[in-house]
Amino acid sequence: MRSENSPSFENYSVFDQPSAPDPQAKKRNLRRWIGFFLILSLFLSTASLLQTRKVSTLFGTGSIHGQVITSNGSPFQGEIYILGTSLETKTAPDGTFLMQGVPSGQQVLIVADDQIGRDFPIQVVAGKQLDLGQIRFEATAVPSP
Amino acid sequence: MGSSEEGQGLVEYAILISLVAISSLLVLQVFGVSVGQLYCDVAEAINLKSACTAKAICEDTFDSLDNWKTHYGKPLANQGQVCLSKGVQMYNLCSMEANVQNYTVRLENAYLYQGDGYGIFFRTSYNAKGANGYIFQYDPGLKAFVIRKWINGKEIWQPIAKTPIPKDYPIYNTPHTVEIRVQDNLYTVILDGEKILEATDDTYTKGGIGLRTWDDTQFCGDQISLLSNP
Repeated sequence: MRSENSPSFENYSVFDQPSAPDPQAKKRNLRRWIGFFLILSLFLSTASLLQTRKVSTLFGTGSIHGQVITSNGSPFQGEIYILGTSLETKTAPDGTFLMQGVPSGQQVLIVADDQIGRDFPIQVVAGKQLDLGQIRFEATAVPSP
Repeated sequence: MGSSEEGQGLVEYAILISLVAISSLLVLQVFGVSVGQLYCDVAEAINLKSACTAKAICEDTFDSLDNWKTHYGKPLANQGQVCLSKGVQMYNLCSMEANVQNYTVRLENAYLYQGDGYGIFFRTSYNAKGANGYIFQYDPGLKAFVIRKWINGKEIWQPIAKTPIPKDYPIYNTPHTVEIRVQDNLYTVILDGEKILEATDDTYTKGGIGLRTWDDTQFCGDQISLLSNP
């Protein structure tokens, strides 16, 4: 082969100069990890906060109304609670009730007589009135005090 | 690299390590794992048991009922034993004042002589209407061990946890030790050293303890303690 046809040294990668370690790359990598764990911490903090019931009031309140009847269809006289809050009211003589200021989201409505309470899961929407319709309160053999 | 750049690198490493630690703790919290309990389990495994000794927050050996508020019924305390007949509800004042979140209740030498059962309130407060909180019920009337919630002196009928009492279980005239471990939103009942029931619920976050009997129950117990969790 004639020398002018020979490949030059530049065509051989083995003769490339080894690139010097980029100090900025290491720093960028470190900052990526910091960013990742920062986002993870924020996500987990939010998840932890959402597990508590207190956060539900941050999303507003709604109201609920309905009528409680006994197993034989007559109006029920008793108390209404929202579990985990201080909200309570009594049913009217016709068994109807209205409760305002109920924190939005998944709540538990308790209908109670003198001794026992029945729980009904409800979904309250902020700024809206939820019509629960007729709720049947099943009496049970209760332990005497 | 200048010394200021090296310093900056160290700060970033410190931030990274802190974030890793915070993330790890948050993961445990989100999944309901007690860090303290985890530490104790590891410490116990490597024989550092003394690091996790439970401390008594309140203890009552029932020499009197001065430290109890009776809501109704006629409990009797005599020579280190309390006996409850028929319908009784009573709250331990020391635990109500302490009003702590996480603890273990231990009732020792609990005898049920007859009747439908007895209950131990936990994370409970009380008002004129009655209890707000949780109760564990040793309940042969329901043929089950149950955990229920109470609101304003009314028991919410649907239990949050229930397990049948085994057929050959010595329900009556046999001393039992009942422990209720209350940790965050997890409630674990241990009967004579064996876990029998577990429930999770977020409704009540702190409160004291109490005792309850109903119907024709005859019940006696020796000592009740409120112990700190690790």
